[in-house]
Amino acid sequence: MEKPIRNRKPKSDRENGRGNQPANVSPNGNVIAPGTTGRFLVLLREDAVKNAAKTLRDTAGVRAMSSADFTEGAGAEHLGESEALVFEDLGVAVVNTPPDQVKTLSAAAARDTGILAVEPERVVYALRVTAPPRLADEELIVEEFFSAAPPVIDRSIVAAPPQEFPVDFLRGYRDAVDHLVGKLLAIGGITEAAVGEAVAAAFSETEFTWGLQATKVALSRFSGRDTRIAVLDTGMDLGHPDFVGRPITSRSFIEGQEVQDGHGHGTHCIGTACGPRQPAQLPRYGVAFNSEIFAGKVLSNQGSGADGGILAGIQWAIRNRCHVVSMSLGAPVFEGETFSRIFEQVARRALGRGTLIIAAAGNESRRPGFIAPVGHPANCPSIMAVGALDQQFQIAGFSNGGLNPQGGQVDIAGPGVAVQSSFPRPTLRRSLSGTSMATPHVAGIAALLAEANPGARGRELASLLLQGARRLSLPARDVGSGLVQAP
Amino acid sequence: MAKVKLSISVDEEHLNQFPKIMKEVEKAGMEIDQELEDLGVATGAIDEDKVAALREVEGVEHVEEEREFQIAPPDSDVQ
Repeated sequence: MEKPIRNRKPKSDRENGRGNQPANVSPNGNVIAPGTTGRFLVLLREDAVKNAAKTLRDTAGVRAMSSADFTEGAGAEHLGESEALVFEDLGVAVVNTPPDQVKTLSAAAARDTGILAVEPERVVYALRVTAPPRLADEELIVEEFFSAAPPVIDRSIVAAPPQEFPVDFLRGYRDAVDHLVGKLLAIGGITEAAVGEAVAAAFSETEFTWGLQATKVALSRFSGRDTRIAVLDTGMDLGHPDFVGRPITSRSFIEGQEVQDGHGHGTHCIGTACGPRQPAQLPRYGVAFNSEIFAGKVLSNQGSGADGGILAGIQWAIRNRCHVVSMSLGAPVFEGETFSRIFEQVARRALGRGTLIIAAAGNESRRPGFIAPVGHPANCPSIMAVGALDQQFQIAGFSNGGLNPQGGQVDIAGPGVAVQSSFPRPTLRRSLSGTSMATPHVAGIAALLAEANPGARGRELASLLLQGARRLSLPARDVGSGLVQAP
Repeated sequence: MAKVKLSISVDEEHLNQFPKIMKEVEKAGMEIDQELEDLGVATGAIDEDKVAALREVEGVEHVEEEREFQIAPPDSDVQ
């Protein structure tokens, strides 16, 4: 196939030449939302990737090309109008299309066409999808989806032989992205940090915890209806007044101990992921208030547990067809230590059955002096690792970082400092900090996404979480793709 | 002989013969606590000097010593 796109000028040149034209208007005159490219990402169901070209043509009249047809790396920014580039290995198509076609695509997503979701391409994400698909073996694809960390991709790009990946082309693309980000931020004369501070000042917590506000759960119309969340932890206070009347399935995997939470950690985490819309006392602290709760006790009342109980809990969650497993637990690993092959295999098998496992990155860091690597099992490539942010959208001092290659990244971040949630009677409510508190925010939001996108399960759900995250001006090492956001 | 607590996983190829593999690992000396067939995993214990032989059982892909977890006590503010 001919490669006409390679001869075109990089977008940065064209943009520079456009002089006074505002950055938020695309070359075809359409208004572009800040932080997006004006193109759209179409998430394809795994079995529908092969026929993507036909689907896109039939539903929206889009001419689709395959990234596999380009021997030297394909770039979405060279797409002409009504053209799409399909990344088979990623299950994603980048579509350059006018707004009326987007509507057609969104409508197609609601039918059974193999299109799972349509959303604006984000500026930073664009850099990620240009990674060479041919370099991605099965393991790397997992990491693509589970880590939107641009620096990691950057390194692989540099390492790629020139004939496989044109570095100049990439530099041009990076410049274009940097340029665009700079312009967008300059428009309002504000920086990302300033945005964070402004928002933090507004967190009053009279109606909603700061975490529900920062993740936009407070504004979401979704509630996790018809979804199931398993929280594997210290159990739950089954008589907590905020959960009266909620369907709760529970099981203890700790010999000699009932599910009833004698520690408090489990009740707190379940509160964040699944707590009620109207708790006895404001603020509301729970994300997926209509989700079905599966409380698995894999840690004792003394807070201890082992691989065996956790694996048993995961099997229990899969058998109960839980959409999400939230695990606010972990064991420290050393820098350079590899992930557990068994947990990785289990996580992949879980994804294959439609169950996404989300785990805490760990609290062993003492920033700024010391950053500890993401712990076990969050360091598995197919388990989503969650870091913790404070109300100023800064990384929490204890939150572990992505130091180890191959799955050891932080994938996403959630609110994890001064998090109010439920606590066993008689305390009822307590504020705690930790990546343990950030994790159930992500799990609850995964349930909202599962409700909003009934076709998206397992890996697709993971990629929706990552794509939807709010980008922050913090290292991807610490926050992955950013702050988790509700649909 | 000291015992090691461990987990083993069965490879994709032998997943449909899970019960048979369980018999084989028992023959190799493993005392099975849990057969987690949905995961293709078993947990249990074995004499230290038999771990190497366990790795050689056909269908066994990974063998890992069990890790322990400990979260912070309830009165800690960081969890």
